[in-house]
Amino acid sequence: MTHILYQTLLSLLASLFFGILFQVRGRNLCFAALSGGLCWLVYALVCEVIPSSQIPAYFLSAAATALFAELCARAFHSPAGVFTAVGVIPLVPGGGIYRTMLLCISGTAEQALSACISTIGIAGAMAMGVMVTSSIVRMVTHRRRSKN
Amino acid sequence: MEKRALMTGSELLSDAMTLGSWLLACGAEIYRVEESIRRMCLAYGAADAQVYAVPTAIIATVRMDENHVETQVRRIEQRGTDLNRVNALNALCRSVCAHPIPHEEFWARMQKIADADVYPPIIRCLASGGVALFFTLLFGGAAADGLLTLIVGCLLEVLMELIGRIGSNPLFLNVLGGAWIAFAALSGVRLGLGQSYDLVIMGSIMPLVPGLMMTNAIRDLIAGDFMAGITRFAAALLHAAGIAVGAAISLGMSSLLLGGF
Repeated sequence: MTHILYQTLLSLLASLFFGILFQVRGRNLCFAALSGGLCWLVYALVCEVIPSSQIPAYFLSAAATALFAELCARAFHSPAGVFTAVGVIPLVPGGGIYRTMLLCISGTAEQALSACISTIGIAGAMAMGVMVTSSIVRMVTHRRRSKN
Repeated sequence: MEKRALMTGSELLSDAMTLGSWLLACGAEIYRVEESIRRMCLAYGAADAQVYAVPTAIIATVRMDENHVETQVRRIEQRGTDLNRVNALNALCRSVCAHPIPHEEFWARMQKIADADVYPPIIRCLASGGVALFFTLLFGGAAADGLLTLIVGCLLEVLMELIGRIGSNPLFLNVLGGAWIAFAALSGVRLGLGQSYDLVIMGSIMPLVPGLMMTNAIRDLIAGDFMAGITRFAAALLHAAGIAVGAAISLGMSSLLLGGF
């Protein structure tokens, strides 16, 4: 458990610095960094529960991050994208794409293909997670608005 | 009728498209760009507005009335990520949609957004080092590896900043970045500054690699913005290929010269 908390803290700090690279400022930066921590925490906890496959963990952590981002967006009147972009940073498969391309160059086509497929799987799961949450949030707020 | 008096059709389309192109250049989502332009046109009394955006261009047509239709195309040359500006532009768009303001006032507010502070280069260099450091630790690196990546990451941003000023091709910039990271990681580990050059490379490339771009590409595809999704997907692969080519050059050279690793 302490291991997970330590990694969560590291993800939070990594997201904080990425937020600075993305020019996020002030209160938005703090909450964007928090969503980065949350992203890793959910991922690590789901990995503990479902050790067989990582894809559900990526999906759920992206969904949780997007939900937190939507709440922050409503609270601070900022676009949710500010918080999601920084929040999902700890898990986006940047290293995976790099490894795919490096394997392509070194001529090991089979390994490159398998790295490519796993990268697309991760990116797809995270994109789905974000989309599902934001669609549900939009549906709920739309219904509430049309009732009034 | 009163709303229409605030801006002429071409002024309106031109202003709305400038707002949209700034949003796109700062890394806003495609649907946000399209929605912002469309809503702003409708708020100023246009009868209809059709917008089509891809990451490198925007096309929009606004119909003020039966006889007055205007179309403009904007090419987006330079792209980066400035979420603070996205935030400010989004706030401006919401505010003019609620209370339309005249052309001059709109431009004064746009100018204010353009002049807003950005983090100075030194902070960006430190942030790049910080990203590299914490990712290396997250991947299981030791403290010594972390220290080495901090230095490599800071100097990476310095290199990017300097070469970016000359106005180099973005792909070549990535090749150089990848080459620098692999070279610095290998020599650092050789000199005894770190233990695992692999972890140092993985951490240091984090500020460069297009992981977010890849995820957003798939998001665009799911949302139905197929052209945008495919464009971004190709851009992400090319971006990563540049970094990998750079790293491969350094790794190959070192194994030729030193025979190790």
